[in-house]
Amino acid sequence: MTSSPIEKAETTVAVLEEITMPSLGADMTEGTLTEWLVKKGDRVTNGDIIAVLETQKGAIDMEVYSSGTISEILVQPVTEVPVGTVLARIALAESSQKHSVSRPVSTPALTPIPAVITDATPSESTTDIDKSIVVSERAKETNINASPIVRRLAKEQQLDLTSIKGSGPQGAILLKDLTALLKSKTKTKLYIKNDNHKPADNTAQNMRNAIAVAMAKSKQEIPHFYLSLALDITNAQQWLQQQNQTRSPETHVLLLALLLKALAKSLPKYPKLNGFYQHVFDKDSTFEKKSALGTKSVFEQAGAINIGNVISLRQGGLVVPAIHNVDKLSVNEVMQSLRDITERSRNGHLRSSELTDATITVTNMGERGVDSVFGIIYPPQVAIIGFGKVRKVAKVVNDNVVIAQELTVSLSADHRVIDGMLAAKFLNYLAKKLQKPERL
Amino acid sequence: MNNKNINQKIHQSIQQRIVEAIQYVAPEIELENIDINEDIREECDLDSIDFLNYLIALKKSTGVSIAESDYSQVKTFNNMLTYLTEKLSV
Repeated sequence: MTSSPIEKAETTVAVLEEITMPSLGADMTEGTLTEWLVKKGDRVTNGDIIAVLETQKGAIDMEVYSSGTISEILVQPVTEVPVGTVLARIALAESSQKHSVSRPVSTPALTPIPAVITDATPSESTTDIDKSIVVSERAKETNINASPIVRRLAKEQQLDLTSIKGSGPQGAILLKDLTALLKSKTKTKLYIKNDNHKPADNTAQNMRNAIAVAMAKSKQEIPHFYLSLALDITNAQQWLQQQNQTRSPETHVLLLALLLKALAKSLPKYPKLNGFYQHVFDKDSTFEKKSALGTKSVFEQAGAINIGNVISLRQGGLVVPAIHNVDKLSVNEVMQSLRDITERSRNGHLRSSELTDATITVTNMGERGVDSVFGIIYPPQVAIIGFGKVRKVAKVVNDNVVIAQELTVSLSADHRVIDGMLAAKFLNYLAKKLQKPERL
Repeated sequence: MNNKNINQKIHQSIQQRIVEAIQYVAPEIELENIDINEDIREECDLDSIDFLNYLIALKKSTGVSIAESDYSQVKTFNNMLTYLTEKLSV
């Protein structure tokens, strides 16, 4: 006979890691697990999409941050749980057992910060865009007794199967069980539409509250200071115009892509703007020590340059998906990524890593017609960059008046980490980078 | 079917594709809620990235690729309708 599971567990060094409901930003407090894309026993690789979540930020593809085998599924869809709730466990493959951590620790604003940061907080991901492997087979394992067609219909119609009492054998949910619900749902929808209310009102209100708490916390805790500089973007605009003249819409490059690339190329020289100011726990210290040291915060430079982009949602509120490793992308690739995250912010399928990995944030309000914007830092980041609108100005160059194009870049910085002189140098360096757009 | 009818059909089909492209970037927009003679970006509150995604959606459904030099000709819903009708009837 082969060894029993217990004996096996004793002989193999299977390190279990918890997969928790991620905090997709300081303003998220709970999320709904809507679907597992893996089942018990499936092998997964760091970066795989393993579940679909419904959050205040829309439908999110949840990624796994380790490699190994799913050993346990603890929460069944469709269930709403607080951030940090253990959803599943993974038996780690040896190679992914320890990672050097340099990413934000998730600290949801509205829930108490967990005393122990478990290994299950998303850890170092070598987020590789090309490696976006979707785990193929959809999990069939769930406690709900319903056929695939019922599940599909329920999902399409956003019905919660756990709340439906099935009339089939062993309480199985049948198609006809859904029909009654769908009818009433359609009525409600029409009613809502006529009444000029959006069905998303509640979600919008939740998001509003969450943003309020997160931003108030940021303003109270972070000693912000602000600087701005007029960037001469005449060259950049001319270069873009040449590039775009005949390009098809898929390859059209917007100024923002150039600005992001210039920012990414400036950050390596000013690493203090790119990272996290947060509690750091000594890995080897005891639980008590961890708690005692909980108030100590330090700045940790980020290993990658992941730029979060503020995207306002049409129904109100905003999301801040990150473009990963912007310094390593070409301007064209940055543009593709911008279009991609904007589209997915509108239609769903942002990935969890995109909402957790930003190391610095950009808000581009120029698009909305304002001259400048001074953002509130998104903790635990230490800087947020704002871009204003493009304007034409009369500029004196070599004693001649010429027409130039400018926009105001602003920087809100955390004075616990960054000093004014450094911030000023950084903005000037960014301005210089933009003078040679062809080299970005 | 006479020519007039055919033209009407084409017209309707293009109109439908523009609406679909708008809804791809701004799902809540209905044709009857926008002024078809005003700047589409303002009418539907599209930023420049949404606008590009709108053009890309149209390229996918009609095959017509609109470069920046032609943006001034596709500002409004009606402009777009005329522009695409011309391009597609060549």
